[in-house]
Amino acid sequence: MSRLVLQNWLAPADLKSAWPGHEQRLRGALERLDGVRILELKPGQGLLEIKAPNVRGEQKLKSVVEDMLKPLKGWKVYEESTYDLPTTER
Amino acid sequence: MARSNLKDYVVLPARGIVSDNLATASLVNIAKRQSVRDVFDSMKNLKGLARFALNEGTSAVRYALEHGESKDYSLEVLHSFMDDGPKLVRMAPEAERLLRAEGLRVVPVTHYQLAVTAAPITVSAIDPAKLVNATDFLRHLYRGTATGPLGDGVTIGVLDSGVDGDHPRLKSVGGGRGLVRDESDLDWGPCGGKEGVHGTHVAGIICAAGDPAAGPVGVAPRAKVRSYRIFSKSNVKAGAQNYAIINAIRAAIEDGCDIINLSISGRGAKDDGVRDAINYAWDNGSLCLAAAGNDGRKPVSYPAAFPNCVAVSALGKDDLIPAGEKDRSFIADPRSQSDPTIFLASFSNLGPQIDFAGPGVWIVSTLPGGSMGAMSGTSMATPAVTGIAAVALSQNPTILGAKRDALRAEAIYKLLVSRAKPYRLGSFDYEGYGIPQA
Repeated sequence: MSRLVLQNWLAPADLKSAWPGHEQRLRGALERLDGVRILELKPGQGLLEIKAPNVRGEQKLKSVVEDMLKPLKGWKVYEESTYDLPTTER
Repeated sequence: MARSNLKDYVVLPARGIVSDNLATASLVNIAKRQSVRDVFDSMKNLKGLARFALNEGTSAVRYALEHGESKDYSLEVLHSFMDDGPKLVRMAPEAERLLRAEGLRVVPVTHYQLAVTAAPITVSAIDPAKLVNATDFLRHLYRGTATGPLGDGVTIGVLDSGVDGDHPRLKSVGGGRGLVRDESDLDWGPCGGKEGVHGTHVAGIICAAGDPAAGPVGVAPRAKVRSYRIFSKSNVKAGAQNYAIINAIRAAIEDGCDIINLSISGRGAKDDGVRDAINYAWDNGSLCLAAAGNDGRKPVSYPAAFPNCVAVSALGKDDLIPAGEKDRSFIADPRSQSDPTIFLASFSNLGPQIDFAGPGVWIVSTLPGGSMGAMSGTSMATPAVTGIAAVALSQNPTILGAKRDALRAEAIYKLLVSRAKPYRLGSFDYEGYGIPQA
């Protein structure tokens, strides 16, 4: 099980007008997709949980989500990753 | 065909990082071609094969492919930023050997160690005779004090573990946002636990203000700092997710931040989401600075290693670290040829991506709850350079007021380069252009 980050890179003004249409299409499509759960979806951003039997399956699901977003302007899909604070260990 | 153990590698051209030979189709075809050659080589009795093909009414080629033997050249391109750029590839050992034979570089996927956070050494009073905070360090290096505007009119976004805006020396911390999922987006205050102090310490290095005899003073005490909390209130150790970081950079741009401080380092491979966010900041006229990482002479970690991110390594000055303190263990070679008391901190990462160095050993700054303490790390060196960038920007109203686009971000960067002084540590990989002058 892994997570995907959805991010829209349109300028704020363009996003504001596009978002209502995008949200409707995104929710509709994502909710019908087996193995995908919406954890969060807000203007210009989203977080999905994807569940597949193996890594290859998850890659395929990621491709499906990417294809789904292609007609909508400004969206990109990223795998979730983690960062730390680089202070020293005492 | 027996399936071998597949492993992940990064495939690069023989030189540089860009080549048409790296196109996904090209890599896959190399493996396919060799597989077909193997199959025909394995068909010893070609005459018998041809007779069989005629009798059965099938083609020899198809028969060979179905019955011939080939080594396992399984090759799957897992990730690629650009078609002619490096590829993340999952493949069998035979395919790996094949690519090497074709003159391509095949390197294992690198994982970076965790940069573990630590509790600060609490300091109860500042001895004015000692030079211990980043500003003191810089003043000592330049044998003078910064003059003119000290960050006036500049807004800095601190993406970190939250900042204690109630600290009496952090009056210029003015708001922020919480970017962690399922937590309040209004809560930009410090996280709990000993690791939660990090953001307040970082903010103090930039903008702490007050009587220098009573506590630390930041490099840009008149800059405005906004806190973007990207670590969970209850679990800093869980790390900051790229989801929060991307959102935080977007938010900082929306809020008009001129400079963004990222005293964070990645746990593993780079992710293109944070890279795109840093590019977004650059395209909108803001400069991102990030810590090189504390893995001890390892390659520069991400996000610092991204092309449009300014990477900062950490220097120390051994006569500024109190006797008996464990932080003296960070004293190491190489040392400056112009001032042998200055050294590259033993924990600092290094590499060609380093742009600048900053003071990062035994830096006294603010802690939540109104106290102060010393910490060491590239986390501390980065806000010192961020503060210098704020001072430089405030002294250049033309750039400060310029249209927010990539040219502005580049101008801020060039401003830092023009003010940098190398300490002749022996390599650009250690200090980049050096420490910029405030």
